[in-house]
Amino acid sequence: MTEAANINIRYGRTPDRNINIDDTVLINQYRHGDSGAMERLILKYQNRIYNVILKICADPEDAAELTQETFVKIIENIHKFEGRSRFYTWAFRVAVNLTLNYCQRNAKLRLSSLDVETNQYSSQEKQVLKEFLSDDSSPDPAVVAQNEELCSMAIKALMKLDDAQKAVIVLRDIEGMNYAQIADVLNIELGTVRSRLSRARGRLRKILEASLL
Amino acid sequence: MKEEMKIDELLNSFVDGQLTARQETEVQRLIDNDPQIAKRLRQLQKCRVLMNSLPVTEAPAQMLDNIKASLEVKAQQDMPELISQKRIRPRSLLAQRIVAVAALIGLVVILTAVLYTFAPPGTAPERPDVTAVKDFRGKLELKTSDFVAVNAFINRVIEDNGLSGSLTPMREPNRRIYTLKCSEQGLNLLLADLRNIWSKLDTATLFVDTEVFGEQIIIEAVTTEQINKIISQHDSNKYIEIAKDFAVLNNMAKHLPGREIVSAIEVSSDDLIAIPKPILTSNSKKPKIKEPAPISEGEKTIQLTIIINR
Repeated sequence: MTEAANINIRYGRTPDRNINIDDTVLINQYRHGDSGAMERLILKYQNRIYNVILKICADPEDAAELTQETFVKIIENIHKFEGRSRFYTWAFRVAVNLTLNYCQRNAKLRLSSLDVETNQYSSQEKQVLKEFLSDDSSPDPAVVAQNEELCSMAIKALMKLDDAQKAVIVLRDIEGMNYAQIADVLNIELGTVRSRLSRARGRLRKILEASLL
Repeated sequence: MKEEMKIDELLNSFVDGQLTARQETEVQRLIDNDPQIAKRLRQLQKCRVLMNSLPVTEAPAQMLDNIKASLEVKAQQDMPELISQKRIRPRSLLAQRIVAVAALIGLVVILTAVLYTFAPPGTAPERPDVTAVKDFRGKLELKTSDFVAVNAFINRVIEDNGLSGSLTPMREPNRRIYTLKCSEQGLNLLLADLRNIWSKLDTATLFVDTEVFGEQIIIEAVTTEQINKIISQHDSNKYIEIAKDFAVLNNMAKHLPGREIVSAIEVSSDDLIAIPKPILTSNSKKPKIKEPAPISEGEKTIQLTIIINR
């Protein structure tokens, strides 16, 4: 077990704090010529960054290219990283900025293809979603995760949000960032994170309800 | 309405655990006393759980290798002078030049014969000295096994050279299509950068549109220098002629016994035709152009579709 992990257990710090300590060490090692340290950083974050990008842009090939571009940009600009923010949020800021710019450039193309794909719901999907929304009990995340129809409907609904709303939902609900981290990544005020997230979830609910009609 | 939005924001923050202890108590009191608010809270929780339960997709296995490849290409782009010096070994330089000159003389003779066959002197009507500037239209088809790295590089140099504004990208499975409409200078900047990934291409074919609808000149194994030479012509007849010459030349080169002459030509191509790159005025770092080189009135417009195939 690493020293950082030991500290984590002893003082009950959050895993996120632990990640930050490791990242600083790895960046310093890379700056001192250890290219393996950067490889470890890439391997550590590639899935999470890829996943966030994929949920925003919806195309696996695009997401792979954008993830690759994100890390190339990070490596090229690592000398500019002063440690004022965490590497974690800095890396995600690069990724989300690249993705949102890319989505903006390709907005027309994406809209035409998404309209066709996201409007097709099977009757089984509709039934499952109806049961989920009308059930008054608290949802069990493990059960939801195993329900393919629900996940498929959720993805389609997410794709119908505009990119800025999608980003805030993905960073909060999928990546699990707190509001301050989201504000840092998107370079917006904390209040804007609150209002945007609230509007995004409201719209998501309406989209899901509308898909039942 | 505003009150509703405020409550929604509070409920969202409550669900996310982003409230102070005092705010949390207040919201809890609201939930306990108002069934409507309690219902909205449940809807929010469901929304959150739904998103939170979406499957996590792993990044492609070759991600790290692709990043390394991209960095390599970028490093080559940043040091083109160093690379071209590496390629030409001083010891064989003289021999290569002799072979290249011999090959050139041979090719000039062949080309003259070819041109003579197409248009014997005296048979063609005389053309006016000044001809109207004609737009260039063509298609550049690139095939590469290193699809991701090459596509990422092309995407980047299009942006770096300020051509993204004139771009219409299209995505298809296993291929990317970029339709550019730019000035000659804009394309020259792009070509100068594209030289750095030419070695990563399996094939490069240029299709030049002629004035006859549907008729194209196909230049296989085209080089960036040849493209530059074609588009630099200010008369459509001339660029079509040169395109035909290159089509014949490359086709012959493909069938030449042994590749040593061809490689000699390829290596010494810097001496034959150099792509002018206006932004490189010294050895200093390449400045980034944010705005595309504008197409001035009456200037030739280049319409080039770049297709990258896997």
